[in-house]
Amino acid sequence: MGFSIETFLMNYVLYFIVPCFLISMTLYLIRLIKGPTIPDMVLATACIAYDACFFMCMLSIYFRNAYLILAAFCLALWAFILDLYVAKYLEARELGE
Amino acid sequence: MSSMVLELNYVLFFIGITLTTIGAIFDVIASIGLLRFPEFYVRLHAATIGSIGGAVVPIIGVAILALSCTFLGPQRFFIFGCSIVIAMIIFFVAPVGSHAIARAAYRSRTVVPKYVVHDELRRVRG
Amino acid sequence: MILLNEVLLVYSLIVTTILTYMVVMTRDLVRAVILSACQSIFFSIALYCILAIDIVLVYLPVAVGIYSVVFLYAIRKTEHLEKPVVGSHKVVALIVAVGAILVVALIVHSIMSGLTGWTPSKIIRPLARFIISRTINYYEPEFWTSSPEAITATVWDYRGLDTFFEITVFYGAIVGCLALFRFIEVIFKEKLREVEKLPKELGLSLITKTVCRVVFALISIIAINIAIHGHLTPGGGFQGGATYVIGPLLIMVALSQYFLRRIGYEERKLILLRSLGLIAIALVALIPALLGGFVFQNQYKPWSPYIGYPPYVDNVWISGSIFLFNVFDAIAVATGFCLIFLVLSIPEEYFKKLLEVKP
Repeated sequence: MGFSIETFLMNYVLYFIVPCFLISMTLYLIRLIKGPTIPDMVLATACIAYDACFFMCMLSIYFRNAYLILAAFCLALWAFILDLYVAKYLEARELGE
Repeated sequence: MSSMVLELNYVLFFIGITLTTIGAIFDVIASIGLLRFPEFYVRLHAATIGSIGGAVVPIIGVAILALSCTFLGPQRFFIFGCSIVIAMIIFFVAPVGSHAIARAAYRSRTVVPKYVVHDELRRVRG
Repeated sequence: MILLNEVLLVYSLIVTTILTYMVVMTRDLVRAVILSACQSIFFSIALYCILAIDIVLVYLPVAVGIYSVVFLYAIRKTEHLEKPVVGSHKVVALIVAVGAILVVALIVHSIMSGLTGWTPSKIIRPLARFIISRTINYYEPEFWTSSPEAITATVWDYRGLDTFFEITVFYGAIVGCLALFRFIEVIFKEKLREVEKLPKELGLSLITKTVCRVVFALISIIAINIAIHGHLTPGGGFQGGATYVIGPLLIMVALSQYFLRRIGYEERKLILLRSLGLIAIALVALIPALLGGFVFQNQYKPWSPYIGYPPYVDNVWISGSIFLFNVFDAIAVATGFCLIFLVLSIPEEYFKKLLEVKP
């Protein structure tokens, strides 16, 4: 059996998938820093957060430890909360109303 | 590769790798789009591809990939279940976030739409 | 040989530095808040790469969920643009930042390569070896804590007194916050009675309201999971409490705070729950001392007559007092944070009414 899932996965992940996601994270960052308005920056932050969730899931396989995936759970549940806060701020209303 | 037996593990592995690769390509396309589109309301379309095609699809790919990795032992079912749930959470939650920020940006006139042919909402609301 | 976690660590730390510099130097404060939230996400990736999951579980809710809302709330009450920075000051700031990073890098490099006479030791310290080999060890039960999670064992058993001081600091902060808002109930109760039916204009749109109700349930379940499993998986009391509070915060932002008070989150109930949690923590810590052992004792030790908390109950692994500490600390922290946000969300006009001087 000349084909091992483990070595192929580690090589392929390291040399193809992670550079793709790192490139897209850098481009999202450029939009975050450049963004002329505030909603642009919020959109870029949301996309960065969802990419970070993917990184955490991939790394839990890479480190061969299943408990690491709880952090991705937490990030996914409130990655959208900054959008709501800024929406409330832009509509110029009180925090609790 | 010619000595590869058609086992379930290899089938799942290749499905997982395909989905993850599709996700990576979508993410790069979305980030290029987010940089090059001219206005906030047009960039929302690129952000949709980035958050759903670029995050939900690769996490489902990672879930199916984890099922095939026998070197993990029984932990792989835990990673599979958690990844599917995370993908579903992002699938429900990401559109709500962009809806909220787009609505607030339109109603507070923070971003005035320029590339628009007919604005029905403005005609109704005044 | 390239290691994936080192590549990600270097990348996220570089981005964190750049974003921190921009947070300090930008003029618009709302941009600073959004950049700071993004910087927290990158820093959590960096912490994840060195496998410190407990810290990530605290850092994410506090830095992304709680900091942003507190700063946005404060900016809303004041101005959102600072004074413009003179051009020469910007150049000086950039030079100072880059110079500081280079100096620190030079010092670290010279220490690690041995230019000074001392290099840090590369073997595991005896204290770390002691803790890791004895948190769960059936052959040497004099020092074990019966919890396979070394961080929770260190927090609640090996150095329990430090955690006690942290809880005291948090308690003092909440007491101070509640003291600032002490007479507000008298005036605010009338408004609460007025808001009988929830009008549709409060809160955000219908789509947001529907999804926030579902996400609130999910957040509560995850928070209880993190708190109760603290002795087996990464997590614990403070992580569970900080995760839980994002739920009511979401309800307060999307539906209004009147809805939150109607479903049962009132100040008196939360103060009662918090006090019960803190009393329970104090009891769990003091009962061994009353029965002959020492404070914060977990398992049986040969030199103290207290028999110790049981490591398992009916085949469920509980690790003695660590489970009880986690549950009560989660209750105390979650209700404490909820109190702060309930009290901060009272609109400003009631304070102005309270503070006006009568002739």
